[in-house]
This record gives sequence, structure tokens and C-alpha cells, in this order.
Amino acid sequence: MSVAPNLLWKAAPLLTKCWEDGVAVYNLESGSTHLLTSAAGEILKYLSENPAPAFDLSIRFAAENNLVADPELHYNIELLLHQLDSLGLIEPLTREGVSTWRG
Amino acid sequence: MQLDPLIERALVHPESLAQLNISQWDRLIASARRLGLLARIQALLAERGSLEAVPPQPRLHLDSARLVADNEQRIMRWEIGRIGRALSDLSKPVIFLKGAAYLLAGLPLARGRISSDIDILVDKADLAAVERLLLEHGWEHLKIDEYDQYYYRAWSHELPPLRHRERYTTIDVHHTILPPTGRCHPDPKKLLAEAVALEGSNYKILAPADMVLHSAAHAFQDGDLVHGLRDLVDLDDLLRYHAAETDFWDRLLRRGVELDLARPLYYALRYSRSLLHTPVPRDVMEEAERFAPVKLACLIMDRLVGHAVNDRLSGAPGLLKTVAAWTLYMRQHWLRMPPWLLACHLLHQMWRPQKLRTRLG
Amino acid sequence: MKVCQLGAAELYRSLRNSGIRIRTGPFVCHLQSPLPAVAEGVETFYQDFTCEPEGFADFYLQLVRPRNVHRFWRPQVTCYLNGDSPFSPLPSDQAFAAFESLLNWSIYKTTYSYLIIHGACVERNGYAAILTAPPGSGKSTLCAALVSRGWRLLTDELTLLAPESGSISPLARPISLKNDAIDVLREYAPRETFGAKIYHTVKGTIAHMRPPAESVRRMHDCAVPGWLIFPKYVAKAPTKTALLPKGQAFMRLSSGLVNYAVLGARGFEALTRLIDRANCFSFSYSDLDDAVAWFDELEPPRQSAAG
Repeated sequence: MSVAPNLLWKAAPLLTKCWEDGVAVYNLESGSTHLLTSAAGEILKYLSENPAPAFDLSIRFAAENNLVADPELHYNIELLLHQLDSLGLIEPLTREGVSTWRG
Repeated sequence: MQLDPLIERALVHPESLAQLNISQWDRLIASARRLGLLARIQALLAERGSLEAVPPQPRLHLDSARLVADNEQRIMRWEIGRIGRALSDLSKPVIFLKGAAYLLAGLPLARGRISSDIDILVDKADLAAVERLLLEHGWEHLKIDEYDQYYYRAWSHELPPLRHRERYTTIDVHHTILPPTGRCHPDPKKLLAEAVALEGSNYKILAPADMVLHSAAHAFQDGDLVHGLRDLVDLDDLLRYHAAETDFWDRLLRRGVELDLARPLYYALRYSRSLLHTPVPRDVMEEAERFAPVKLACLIMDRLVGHAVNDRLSGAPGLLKTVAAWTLYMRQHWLRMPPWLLACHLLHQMWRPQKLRTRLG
Repeated sequence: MKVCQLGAAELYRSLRNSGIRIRTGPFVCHLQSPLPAVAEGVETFYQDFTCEPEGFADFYLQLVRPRNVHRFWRPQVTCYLNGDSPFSPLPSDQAFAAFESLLNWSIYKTTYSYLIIHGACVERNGYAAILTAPPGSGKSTLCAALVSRGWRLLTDELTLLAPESGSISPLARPISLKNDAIDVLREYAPRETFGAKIYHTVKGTIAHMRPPAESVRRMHDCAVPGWLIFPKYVAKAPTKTALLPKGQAFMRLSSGLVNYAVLGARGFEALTRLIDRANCFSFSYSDLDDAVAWFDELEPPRQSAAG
């Protein structure tokens, strides 16, 4: 699996609720409900603030969690983004900031 | 041929419902529920600011029905996006039909409408590519037997229905709007040529006159009117919405002839005008009389439609109602297929195992 | 006027002809049936319920004999809700159980003003305990035991949660006991009223327990959720409980929801508020006295911080 490195990701409009053991998420567009790990919840929170590419997300995640931003972290963040995309919680934008599928 | 007075009042003069007593509300809610119009009536009342005057008990049912309809719309909107994404590599036009089109175009009639499946129209030459892309993106064929596969691909106007394996939503992919074996033959290339692109998107919908004609064909040429009043409500809405456009009525009549849909157009205008008081100009109706069937056929159709648009009383339907429903069912098939094919099809339907339920009817 | 004030003859006559309207919580159910099993069931289990005069009914229920050979031979009952028949015909001796199922179905299918949780609900000192778990977990058994020991019955099958206020609206309908639980409860609560066993239903053998008159009288008193309990009957095992983390409780509760999808964002918010507000426990039991004692000692939830 590889994601084009400069691909911008954007979160769908979401409702969230954080608890000690996970983050409940409701996708206002799809109507689906999920319980995600705190890490996934954190990434979603960043993307809800601003669209961002995978690299920037992993740098920020590392900084906020006192981790080293090494290739393994980058890989795991990309994997997570791929999973969030398949759940319909995020979508890729073109560099101009338009959805890659229009509707 | 007349609508139940309470239903007529609700659809044509919803603001007058404030005067209903609680027993009348009881009857109206029961009838509207059976006719599939609860959400629609809620939307009409909401648009006129008349919901507050509805007593709490019937209001609960109106609001509940609206919640269901709004949820269906949300599912449909999401599904349109997913379909768009799946077909984004296809550089050919994809036209959304019926409920999906009303939603995309933001037509008032989308509110309070119960829509389930999504229908798209593509050129016959693109069918294989569309099917392949959908299958790659998580749709799968419903489990239907060989006969049904053959029926759809050989005789029908659509692929066998595809259902998404995770979302369980269905998409019908059409290459024309009526079965090729049927008695009317609207040219799909003409529909595709006139289709309208929606601003800021790759999606297309039918041109206004074509949208009305498709709705008329669906109700009166390819349907058995089991949701007769709902179909007429759609038609009434579409006609009222587009009536203000310049030359709309002329275009509608011309296009009806051009697309070989003049007869269903006649029925659509006749029944929406008489039952829902659609403001069809008199000269347009006179012009449309050219497309009417013989008087006897018209009288019979009046009776059949009269039964189809009225709610049956509680419990099992009466004999007349059953006969009318069966007649419309046979008519639907008669219009879809030449007699020899119809005979084969009905024989096969009689003998197939009961558990193999399909949407062929 | 209460059902018991109608008199048996009048009740049977009304049911056979124009029907009667029974109020259960926020709903009015119009019931018409010529079947003696239905009339007997209503007379026994709905005796304290109010009959509404002519007006608005939320659901129209009919339970009638079919118009075929099964009118007489291996007699069956056909159920109609608002003119449609949602179930296959059932043996006519199951007619009262069919009525209960049909009324549950009516509420499920037509009401989206409440978030419906599949499970029982009982109340004490102003706080409600919601008991939710997969079928066969012993929810109704536990519910009946608690009700027999002074807890107010709100519902046995469908918990109605108002999305905005988060309060629970009672139905106070009969409790449906299954299989071995029937004899267990008859022994545990001999002063309660139980119906005869109904055999060979899809859920096995069923018998109903009449709701206490006080619970029926208070059917319009809503309750605030205090506890969300996931019960499981485990034969001969000691009572075992665990406070659940909120995320886990959320996941477990989500499988017990009936109409959540339609409520959309409001449903999500109602659900997360409920999880926040209530103390959530897994609860396995075999001894009813032990189980009731644990419930009696439950502490009301502390007010949680917002968000």
C-alpha cells in the first residue's frame, strides 16, 4: 500500500465523543458510527481542523505524543489513513483542495 | 374517479388541515400511512409553517415518517458520492434518474420522499465498463438464477440489480428507460444528448421535459401503479416546478412525441390534473387529447387508476380492488413484452421455486 | 375507565366488534379480535390499563382467524397492523403472545420520537436501570425478579429513551418469561399473577407476568437513567459484576439498538449522553436473591463533568 505523499486528506463532518478507552465517532454524511482508538481519534481531530498530508500528520502526532517521527511511524500513520478512508471518515483532496470525486 | 377527501385536502390544501378534529386526523394518518404519503404531508405542512397546529399524537407519526424519509435521503446522498467515486475513471456520462436526480437537483419534491434504490442511465456501449467498475468497488450481483440473469440481459432495460456488499444499498444500471421488448421505444441516445450537467460536478440528470416523461413512463407504461398516488404526487410536483419555465409545455408535448412516450404523457396529464388539480393549461390538455386511447380504454383506465390511488380499508382488500390490482399487474407485463414472450415468462414465474424472489414481478 | 371496570362480557363484546383502545405509555393501541385467547389475555394482564374513548389511535391491531381451512382445522391466528400482515399466521393458542409481539413490532416500526433500546428497564428512587443483552441472556427473568421485590416496572422489552431529555418513558406492559424461567419465577414470586404456559412459540415456551398495578398507575412518570446493565444468566455461577469502561459499554449497547440509524446525529448524541450519565456494568448471575441484593445496593451515578 502506498499513498501519494503530497495527497491532502480531509475529514468528513463528524461528531465525536472521547472516553478513556476509545473515541466514538459519527459520520454526519454516511450515518455510520465507529469506536476508534485514541490514536485514530487524534488524527481525525487534526484533519477536522485542517486538511493535511500524511507526513505533516505524523510529525504533529509525534510531537504531541513524545514520539520519534521515524519511518515506522510514518508508515503506521499512512496505514491508519488508508483505514480511515475505507471507513469513509476521511477523503483525499487534489492539491487544489477539491475532492478527487465530485458530487 | 376521485381521491379520498381527506387525502385530497392534505395534498392540495394542506393549510386547511388545522381545522381537522382528532378523529379525522386518525383517519388521515391511517390512510396516508397506507399510501406512503405521511412524510410528504409532513413536508407540505412544514413548508407552510402549519406543523405547530397539528395535535401531538398525529404529529408524532408525521414527524417519525419524515425522519425515515430524511434518513433515506441521507443514505442516497452518500451513495451517490460513493458511486461517483467508483465511476470517476469512466470518462462517459452517467445520468442519475428519479429520486437521486431530484435530490441532486435540489427539487422541492425530494423533501419527504421515500427513495430506496439508485437508478443510473448510461450508454449501452458503456454498460460493461460500468458493471466492472462497480464490481471492483464493492458491489455484487444479487443472487438470482440463470433465468433472471438471462431475462435482464436479453430483454430488459437494465442490468440485474447490484447490491453493495457492506452497505446493502442497491443500484440499478439502465441503458434505456423502458424495456426494449415493450411497446414504447424512447431513444436513449436522445435522452443522453439532452441531459443536463449539474454545476460543479460530473453528474448529469435528464432535461426537465425528459424527467417528466420518464416519471410518466415509470407510472403508466412500466409500472402496475401499486404506488399510484405517490407516482402522481411526483408528477404533479415536477409539472408545477417546471411549469414556469419558458416553453416548457410545448417542449413537453413535442418531446413526448419524439420519445414515443405520448400515451403515458397523456395519462400523466389527465390524472394529475383531475386528481391533484395540477395547473395544466387547457390548450395543452386539448393538444394532449390527440394521444389518448379509445374511449373505452380510457374509461377502464379511469377505474383502474381510481382503485390504485385510494387506500383500501383495513383488513383484506375487497374483490373489486383485487381485480383492479391484478388487471394492472397484467397490463404492466402486457406493455413490457410481446405476447409470446409474456406467455413464456409467466409460465416460468408460475413454476419457479417460491424462495427465489426477484424484482421482475 | 380501566379495562377491569368494563366487565368481562362488555370487554369480550367490544373486542369482537368495534375493538377497544388501550393506552400504554405514550401510545394508544386499538385492538380488535374475536379470539377468546386474546380477550382472556387482555382481561388478565391489562386489567389496570386505561381504555381510551374514541379519538386517535397510534396503532390498529387486528388478530383474526384466517379465511381458509385454518379457520377451523389446526386453527391459526392472522395478525394485522394498520391493515398489513407482518407475520405468518400462528397457532391460535399463541394468540395473546402474538398480540404482545405485534404491539412490540408496532412500536418498533412506527416510532422514531424515541431511541429504542432492546431491553428491560426498572426504576427505584428516581433512577432507572436499563437491562440490555442478546436474547436468552435472562433480562426478563431479572426484570421480573426485581419488579417482584419492589422495583417499578418501566418496560420488559422496549426501552424508550427521549433523545433530547434522555429520560425514559414507561410502557408498563406484561413481562414475558421463557422456558425454565417461568417455574423459577413462579416459585420466587408466588404472589405475582402469571398466565398459563404457551407452548411451541418461536422463543420456546412463554408465560406472562402481570405488571404491578402501581407500575401501571405510574406509566406516565418518566425516569432518569442511572445504570446500564448487561446481564447474563450463568447457571450455578456466583454473581459477578464489573464496571465497564465507557467505550466498551458503547459498543455493547450499540448491538441492542433498534432504530438508531434513522435518528442519525440525535441518536448518537442521545447514546453518548446515556453512556456518560449512567454507570455501566456487566453482570452475570444465577441466584435471584443475590442479584436483587446487588441491585438494591447500587449507588446513584455521580453527576459527570460535561463532554
